[in-house]
Amino acid sequence: MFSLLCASPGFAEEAGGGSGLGYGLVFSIATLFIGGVGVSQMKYRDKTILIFFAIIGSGTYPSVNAYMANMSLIPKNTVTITASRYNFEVQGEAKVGEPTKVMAAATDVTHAAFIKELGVNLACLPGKGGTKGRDNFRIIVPQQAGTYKIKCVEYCGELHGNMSVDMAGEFVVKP
Amino acid sequence: MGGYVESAVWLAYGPMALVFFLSLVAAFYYKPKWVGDPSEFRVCSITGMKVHIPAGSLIKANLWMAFLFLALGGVMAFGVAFTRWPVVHLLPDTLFYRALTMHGLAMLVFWIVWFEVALMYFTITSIIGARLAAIRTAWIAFGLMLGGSLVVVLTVLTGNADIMFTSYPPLMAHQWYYWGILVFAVGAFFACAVYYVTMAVAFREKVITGSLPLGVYGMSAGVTITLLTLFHGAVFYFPTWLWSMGLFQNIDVVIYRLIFWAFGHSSQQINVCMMIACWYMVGTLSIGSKPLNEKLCRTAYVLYILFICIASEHHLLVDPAISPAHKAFNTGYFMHMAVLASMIHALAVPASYEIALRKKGYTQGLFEWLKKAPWSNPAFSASCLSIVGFGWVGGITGVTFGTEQLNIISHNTWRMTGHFHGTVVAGTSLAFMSMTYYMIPIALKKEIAFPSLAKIQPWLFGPGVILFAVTMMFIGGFGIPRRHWDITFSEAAFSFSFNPIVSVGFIICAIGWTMAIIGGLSFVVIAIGSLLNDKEVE
Repeated sequence: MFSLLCASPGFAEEAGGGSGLGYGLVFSIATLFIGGVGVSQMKYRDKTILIFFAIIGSGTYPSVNAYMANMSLIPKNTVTITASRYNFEVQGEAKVGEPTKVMAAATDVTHAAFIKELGVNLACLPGKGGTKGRDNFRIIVPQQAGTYKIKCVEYCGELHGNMSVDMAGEFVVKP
Repeated sequence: MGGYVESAVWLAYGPMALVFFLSLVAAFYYKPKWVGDPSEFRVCSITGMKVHIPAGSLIKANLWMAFLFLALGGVMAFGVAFTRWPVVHLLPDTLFYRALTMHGLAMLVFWIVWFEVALMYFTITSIIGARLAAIRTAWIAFGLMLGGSLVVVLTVLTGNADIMFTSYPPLMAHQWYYWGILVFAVGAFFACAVYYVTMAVAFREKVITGSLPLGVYGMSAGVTITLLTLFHGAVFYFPTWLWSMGLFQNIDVVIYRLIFWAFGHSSQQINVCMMIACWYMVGTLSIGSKPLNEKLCRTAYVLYILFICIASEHHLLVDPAISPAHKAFNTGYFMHMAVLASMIHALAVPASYEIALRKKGYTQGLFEWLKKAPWSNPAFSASCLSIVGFGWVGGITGVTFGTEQLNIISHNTWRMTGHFHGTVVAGTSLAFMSMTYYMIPIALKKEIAFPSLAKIQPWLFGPGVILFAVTMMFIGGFGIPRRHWDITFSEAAFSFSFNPIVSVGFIICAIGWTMAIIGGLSFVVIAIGSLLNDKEVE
């Protein structure tokens, strides 16, 4: 039931395919089936345990909803991060309170761009033979203006610990 | 882009599926001519069960390798840990990443798989009392695994594979690295085959009648997941190996990562299955516990087999391979199918311990059973600490970090490192240590060496690991990245400093690391000492 409610129609296009509706349906049927079989086999005490799990599990529904709401926003700005050994190249700026699409890719090996304060954590993947790989994205709504350092959190070579080696790699959020 | 990989997938799947199918057919039609020779068995003085003597030397050989790799991984752990602590900063960057690669492989692959193979042979021959069929194949498996692991160790230590355990392309290791891994995996596949053939023979010879004991059932679930995992491993390691030899031009890293985690996380589920089997077996052996509700526990194992690949996707939450909708639904809902299984065991195992101890007469108040439990029995105490470590430190954090929202601020930070040290080290490794204290006396008829050291060993290792794992997760919350040589960014062009509380966390970590390393070292000393022990169990 909850999973069906989570599927928003505008979301599928933004995510590049894969609406949640199918998953919701499959999950609901599977839950009904497994739950039904399980409960019919169980004793009183085990049923109590099951209800306990259900209460804990239901805690995840609102959080999934919140995430989906954020991801289905229409972004106003786009910031592109291109990683290569050992630097991040950033194009574009974000603004406080405006939904921003953060895109990330790499040109040589796997990197990962991480800005904890903004909730950006994206694998930067390379393509074929030194080309840019598939774009990875996330939609964020920055809350605080400032200049944020991007840190690499995927091992990319000897100097991974000191990426970026020059002053680039700053993610700017304008007020 | 993925054309090469996809054709390679078929290249790998074709022969593997054929072998799998043929072995199923062979197992069905296999009629043993030789029926177990009674002189090959002895009666164990601890369990009162029949023990197959020729399996002993195999178990011993596998245990030897497990302990040696644990020691190697421990040495690497020392180097890695005390480089991460900025105050000591032991190794230069190249050596740090090499040590980290070796630490991951030695612990996560070699120590655990060698031990699991020994455990497989142990449960089938000493808990069930069947004869180990296909002993020659088991020795071939041992040889393949030995060759493979030595090649990998040499390649990594000589600096030809500084690519971490995950080995994401286009970071390329020398082709011998992939050779080693593949040969090791083929060996492990043979060991699984021996396990199943032995079980089929035991059913046919009426050694097993009715259903399997719960511990062995859990082991079988683990072996089943092993087969799935090995297939996934072949699907990406095989083309990657061809790529390292220059036969393929490109590996699609998106697909690689997708399949890698079907292998990488499923392999952890093997550990979970076998660890829980150890909890049940140690409970039965030490305090005579019986599972609370067998049907429920068995269902939980089936849930692991069915849903583990789905649950593995939390490794891909920062990847473009799957859509955000998929990620949200998977981590919000599907992941919990496998989690449910763990929660069933989390309640069932301690409950079975409590009931067994209450039956011994410790019924006063709520906690007399806990107070009077045999804490000086290293197997029992290690098992209990392992339950705490896996459930409360590794498991619960894993479930929460696995959700999309928390993951985005935790992925690839020290939170993850803390989480999986809780599951794999405080959980699995400690459970395997507890099992060792019964395996060596039962299967090899040898007494445990240094018994007084053995009594305190779990209390050094368990709390040590739990201490540093919790602290790692705490300071990981400040954004400390994992796999990072220098968090002070001393050689970077910019300056960046974390919250000062992080340095206090590092000191607590250092205490935990020291305790864990001393505890691990004493385990290696006890275990190898016991293997060399001449004293026999009466």
